[in-house]
Amino acid sequence: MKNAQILVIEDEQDIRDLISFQLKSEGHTVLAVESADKAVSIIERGEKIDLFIIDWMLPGSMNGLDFTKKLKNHKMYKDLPVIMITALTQADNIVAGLDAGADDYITKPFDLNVLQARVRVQLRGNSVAKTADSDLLDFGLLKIETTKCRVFIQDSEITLTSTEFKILLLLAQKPGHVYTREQFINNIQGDNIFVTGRTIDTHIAGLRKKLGEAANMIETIRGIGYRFKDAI
Amino acid sequence: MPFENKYPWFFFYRIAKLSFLVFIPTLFLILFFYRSSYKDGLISQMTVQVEENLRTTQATLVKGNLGWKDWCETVHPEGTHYSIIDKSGTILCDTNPELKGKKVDDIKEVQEALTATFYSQVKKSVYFNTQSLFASLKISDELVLRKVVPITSLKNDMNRFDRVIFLRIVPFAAISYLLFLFLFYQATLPIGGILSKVEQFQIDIPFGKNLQLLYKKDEWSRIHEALNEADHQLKTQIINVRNENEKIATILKSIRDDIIAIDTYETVLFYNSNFKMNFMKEKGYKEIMPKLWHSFSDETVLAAFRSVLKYGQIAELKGLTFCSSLNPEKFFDLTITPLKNSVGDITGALGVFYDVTEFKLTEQMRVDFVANVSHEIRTPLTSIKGYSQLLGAQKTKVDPELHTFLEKILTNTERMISLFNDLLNLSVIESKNIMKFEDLDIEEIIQSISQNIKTNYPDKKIQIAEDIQLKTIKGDQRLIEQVLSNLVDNACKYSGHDIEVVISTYSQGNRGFIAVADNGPGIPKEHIQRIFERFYRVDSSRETSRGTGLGLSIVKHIIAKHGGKIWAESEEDSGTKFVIELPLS
Repeated sequence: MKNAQILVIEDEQDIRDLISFQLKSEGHTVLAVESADKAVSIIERGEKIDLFIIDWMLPGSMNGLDFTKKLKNHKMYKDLPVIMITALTQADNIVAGLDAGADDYITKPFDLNVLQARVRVQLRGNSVAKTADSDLLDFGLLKIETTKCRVFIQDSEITLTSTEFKILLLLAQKPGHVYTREQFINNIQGDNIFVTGRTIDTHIAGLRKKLGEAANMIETIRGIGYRFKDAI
Repeated sequence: MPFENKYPWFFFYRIAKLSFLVFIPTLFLILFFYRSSYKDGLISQMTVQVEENLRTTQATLVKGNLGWKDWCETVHPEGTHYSIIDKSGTILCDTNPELKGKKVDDIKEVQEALTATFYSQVKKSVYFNTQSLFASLKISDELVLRKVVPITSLKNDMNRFDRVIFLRIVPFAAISYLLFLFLFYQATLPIGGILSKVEQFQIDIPFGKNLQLLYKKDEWSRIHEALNEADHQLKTQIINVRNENEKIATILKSIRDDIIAIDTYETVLFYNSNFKMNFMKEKGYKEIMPKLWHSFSDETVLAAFRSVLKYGQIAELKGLTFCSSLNPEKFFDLTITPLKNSVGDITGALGVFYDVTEFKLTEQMRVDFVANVSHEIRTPLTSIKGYSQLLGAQKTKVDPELHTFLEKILTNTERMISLFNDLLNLSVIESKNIMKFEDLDIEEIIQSISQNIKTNYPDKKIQIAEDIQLKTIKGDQRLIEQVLSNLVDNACKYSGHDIEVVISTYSQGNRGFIAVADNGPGIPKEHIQRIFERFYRVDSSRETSRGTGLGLSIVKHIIAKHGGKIWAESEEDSGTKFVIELPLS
């Protein structure tokens, strides 16, 4: 997506300017504020936003996590991508942020190239894979027929268990979104399927084996979860 | 068996002797007096008869108007003789003519008779040459009629009497004496028990003197001595116990931790003053209350105590909090140990509360500090890195000479960031007390690592081979992943372009092993010992020193936290193999 409207919340001016400069140089429009309260006023104005980049540790009564939760409860903004910027590298904090609604995260000090790539992925969504056929996701090497539950690697079909398919579909529908184990569990349950955090890892290991060359499309984020890369 | 119920024989003999000495004389005395009475009775009986006889004779004489002289001469009684005696004692006439004219031996016979009308006595009769009854009756103022009768029949009666005694009474007495002895024996049998106890006592508690020798014949003294000694021992033990209790109380007082002990009925056995201070005062009790639940309302604590009382296993509770108006929030770790007697039965439980408030607060401060520092340092680093990158993107606007300067800024910024991350990591690992131990699938871990490593080194060809004989190990997932990731990263970092890493796992006994081997340049012998030190470099002169120097230190710490070991096997130019040893349970 070119020229997206991106809302950046970051209390450190230098970093705020850094991010704004970078994003602008990519052709986007940037709304940069230093607190969640200021961001709330923008939201309440009903501004069109395509992506949120939120620093987790914010001054004032509302921090990044609170703001993200607010977004997820807002009719207009709840489906929009959120990238969390965090100085806290402990896995627990990151998992908490992802479970609160962030799609991806980036730790300070970050690499601008990495930021650029993540932004791109989030803005792209699954537009690349979407085809005219509403239930076919085409990632080139990997094709998924969503309603018929069929998966093809280089056009030859592979057999997945129902859990493996659900996991793959979940990942593929939101490329770039970091799924925590908790999110897997919440989305996979039901219909005689019972999973725990450990079994998710086992399922993904099995799924990867079956995906063969496309295995690398599932990226492991150590200690956090998994992410789908629609381009290897 | 020396300690079969001993019987106090010496005591028995003494009593037997004593009773014999008392019994026999008494018996004899009784028999003697009885015999005398009997004899006297017989004699009086005879005396009455003789007196009757004399009076009859007198009456006959008076009636028949026969002169006594004539009667005297004509009468010839058998077995007796009559005499007429005048008041001077002369026998005027006797049925035994030889005695006529003679004087009587004892004038009293006559005098008494004349005074009291009748008199009798028993003495030896010269005539009959045997004991005889001499009976005198006054027949006139001057005359006495005397009859002398030998008492042989009496003798016969007495003989008969004596025979009865010997044949009947004496055996009877003997039997009843024996019966008495037997009953006495029965009655004194329990003393045997006491004596056995005394002997046992001497074995159990050494006296220092052998009572058997000291009081060979005196059983009662033996018993008395034993009791004395027991009393003395008991008093000594009581003093000892009191002293020991004093010691314990002093020790308990001086221990800083709070201690409470309960028995199997949850009654408080003892506690120390710290416990009283922390747990009692806050409840407003002045003294310790008898039951455990008086002190605690916390269900977890009560349940833990009860579990220890029931199963006899040590229980540990960490991070308990007790809030009250007197004590602002304090944290305790609690260890409950079962109390057992010498046979192993559970007799109670001992709870020790360790005040970890300070520790926890310090820990909390450290965590907060780390978080703050982390945040504070990352912020300027972000700016430096970010703006350097922006400059780099605008290279064309800058003099080419200055490009290298820019490169250096970027490289060193990266280095600083890595270093900072590693230091933080190490600090967290060192302080992290609680690790989540799970069963980890090694193949899964390797799979995820291989993925990541290839993205880190896009220019190198990396092949990771597996030889998995041990499929699962117990450990903290994130930390173990970090270990393997670091080791594989090391293997790739220092090797050339064609990298082969072999990860193998196996078990020996109750230890599990993970080996990471590469085909890189190897480590010279003199450095192998030191590679796990912080910031140690094999070749410190290398211009492009890679990494922070903390990677292996972090790995070593993590493995140590798992209770394992790690070491390196390597030769220069023939690759390196890191071996990790971990406990399997």
